[in-house]
Amino acid sequence: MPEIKVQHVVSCSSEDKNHPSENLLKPEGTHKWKCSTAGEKSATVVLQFEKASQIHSLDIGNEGSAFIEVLVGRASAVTDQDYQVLLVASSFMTPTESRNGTNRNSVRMFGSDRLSKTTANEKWDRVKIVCTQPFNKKKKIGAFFINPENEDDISSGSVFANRGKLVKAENPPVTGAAAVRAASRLAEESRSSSYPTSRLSSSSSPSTSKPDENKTKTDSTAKPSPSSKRKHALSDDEEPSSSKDSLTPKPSLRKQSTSLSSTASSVRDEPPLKKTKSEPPKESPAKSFRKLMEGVTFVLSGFQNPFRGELRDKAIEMGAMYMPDWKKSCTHLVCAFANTPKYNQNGFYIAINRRSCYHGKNMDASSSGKMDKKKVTPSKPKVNPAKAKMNKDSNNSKGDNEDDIYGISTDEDEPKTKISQSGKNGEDDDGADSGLPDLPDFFSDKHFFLYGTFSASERRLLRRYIAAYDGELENYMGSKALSENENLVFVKPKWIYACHDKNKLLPYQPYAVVAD
Amino acid sequence: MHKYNAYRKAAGVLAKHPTKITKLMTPMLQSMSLQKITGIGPAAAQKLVQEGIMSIDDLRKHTDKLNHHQKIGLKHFEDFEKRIPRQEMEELQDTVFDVLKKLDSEYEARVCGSFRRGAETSGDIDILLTHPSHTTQTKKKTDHLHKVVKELESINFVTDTLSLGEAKFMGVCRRLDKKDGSERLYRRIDIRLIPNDQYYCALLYFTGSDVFNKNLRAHALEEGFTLNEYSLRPLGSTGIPGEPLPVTSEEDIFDILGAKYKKPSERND
Repeated sequence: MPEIKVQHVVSCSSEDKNHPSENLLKPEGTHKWKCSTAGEKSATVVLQFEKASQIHSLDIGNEGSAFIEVLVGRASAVTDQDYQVLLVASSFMTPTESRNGTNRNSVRMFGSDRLSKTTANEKWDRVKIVCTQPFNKKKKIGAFFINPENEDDISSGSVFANRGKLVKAENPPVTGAAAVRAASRLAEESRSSSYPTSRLSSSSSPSTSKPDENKTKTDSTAKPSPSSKRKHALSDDEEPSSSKDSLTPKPSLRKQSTSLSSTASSVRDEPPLKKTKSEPPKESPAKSFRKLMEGVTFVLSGFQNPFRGELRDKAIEMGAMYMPDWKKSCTHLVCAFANTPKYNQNGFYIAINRRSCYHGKNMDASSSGKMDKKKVTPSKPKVNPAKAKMNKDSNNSKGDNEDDIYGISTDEDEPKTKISQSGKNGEDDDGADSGLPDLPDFFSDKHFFLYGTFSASERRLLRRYIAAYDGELENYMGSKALSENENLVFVKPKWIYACHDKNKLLPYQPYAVVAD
Repeated sequence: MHKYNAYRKAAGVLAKHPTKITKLMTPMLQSMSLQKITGIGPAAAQKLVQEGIMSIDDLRKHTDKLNHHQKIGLKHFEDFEKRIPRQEMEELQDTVFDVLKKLDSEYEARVCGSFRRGAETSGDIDILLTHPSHTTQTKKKTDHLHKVVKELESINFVTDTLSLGEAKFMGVCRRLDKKDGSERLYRRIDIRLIPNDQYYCALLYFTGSDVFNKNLRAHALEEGFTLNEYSLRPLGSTGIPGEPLPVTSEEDIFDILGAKYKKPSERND
């Protein structure tokens, strides 16, 4: 979505001399605008667009306001009455947060469904932001960015015009950090709802999906904390599509891994990976660009700014969640090279070189481990030809990279052409990346299914181990599994842990579940 | 409640007029007596009066002119006119709550109205019901209310249904038989299923009193908010209400409005 360019500030109710309203024109999140005195009833700023535009979505970064309302108007407007509400007063801080001065910099994104339909359908050249804080009269209020965007139009080529729209990374000094914090908090909030959702939709068997489902439920309902509620709009958006794209014909783990990892890798775009896969999730023309990486929670490691910021912004733009540090919920660790501190700390998960993308030791169980083994040997780096090529002229990263991502989402032909070059380049990179450990595949040809109740975390771990060692996790079968295979063996989960610990296949007999 | 206000207003207007007008209005007053029956409103009453049915006794002879709701209203007319003592209200409440608990422990319900404000007697029993799975975001229809009503019927607590939709049940109930031969009058019961996120605004609204609600709403406007039975929303710069604020208790509402919390018993005016 191209950002609508803001030309200048028309007027503002007041401004702090250290935080003038012009700050809103600066790259997002870098500088705040605040009103001049604490306790002002409302703080208003009017911005002029470069040209009249239809506003399709809005991202707003808050600075201490409880509510922010957005109205639109035209330069020709004479009175205040000529402004019409685009976004009704929306809460950014609860009364408690307002009084305690916490969560002052939350970021909210409003899609077209949250904007007034009649107003959003017209073109406007002015936008008026009204910030209010009725719960705390002691703090100055304002906003730190406002990002109106017009129609979703990827082919326009300006997709990345608004790079860094959510977060401007750590490179801009002081205030940028606020944005980062806000964004990561945002990610965290939504993670609670969106992450389990994606898991849920991708998990294959009824048995696997159950605990997750419960979790989702409790997450979204049991604690109707303002923050989770506030995030609702976004997660609502995500749900349908994530279930749509990850659940196609036969929902097996294998399928899931394909779709998840490819979503993941498509960011760093990986045409060959996509093409070699049996069922590339290429339903994606329909899939919104913003949701390409939905369900991915990633951590960056070893990247320097500004590239770090760019990477993150792109991924976020495509619907991924960013985490500053590794957490359980993360699905991808994106490494600039093997043996980064975070890599060593975690030792596995999908490691994606900034150019090439390789799948390291374990991977996220549910994701690509499997597929990798089939197609390539486990630790063998997968190399994105296009990127590998780019690796060579490292300075020119930006432009090319954009092209790539762009190619994936819009242009089907481009990846294909890239495949042809893949082999050679890939090997080049192999050497460099082979620092990744090999994974044994002692569960090959073994089929598993999880019977009975497991906690979500245990289930996740089991799935990871099974996938990592090349086992196949089947759909839940229940007791009819016995009729299908009378040689079925019931084992305790311990067996799998033990195999993992010893890194080899152990006899299962000591771990067998014996009928009483 | 509205009907009651209408009576009051009408009475006030009449009081200000010379007597001969009152005489002219006799048919209207007669239609008003018919309106004491649940299900008979101004239109139905007027029609009945035009057909020569002037009193409730007349009506009993012409029940064919009534619909299901009105027939039940007429059948239990005397019982419905009687106030329900607090003790019985508590019994009725316990019966319903027991059933709810048995159906699903996540149900949350409260008897509102004057009972919640501590009144010694009540006119009917008015229950608000909510379930965490049912919010305004829920797209698909819910059958919570149907399930609950079915269960209440099965134990012979609910005896008649006046109307039953997805969100509101209106019916008739009766104390469970205690075998001590005590009187078991038919009582009007309403159950409303409220989306979880609107529950506390609804609770506040249906607890009343009317006067208290009016004052609180006026106070909300002064503070730049708008309050109704569904939500509490901030008012934008042009007076357009904003997003509903997350409300997780009645206290939240008072808190947001910067008002001191008042217990239900303190809300009588």
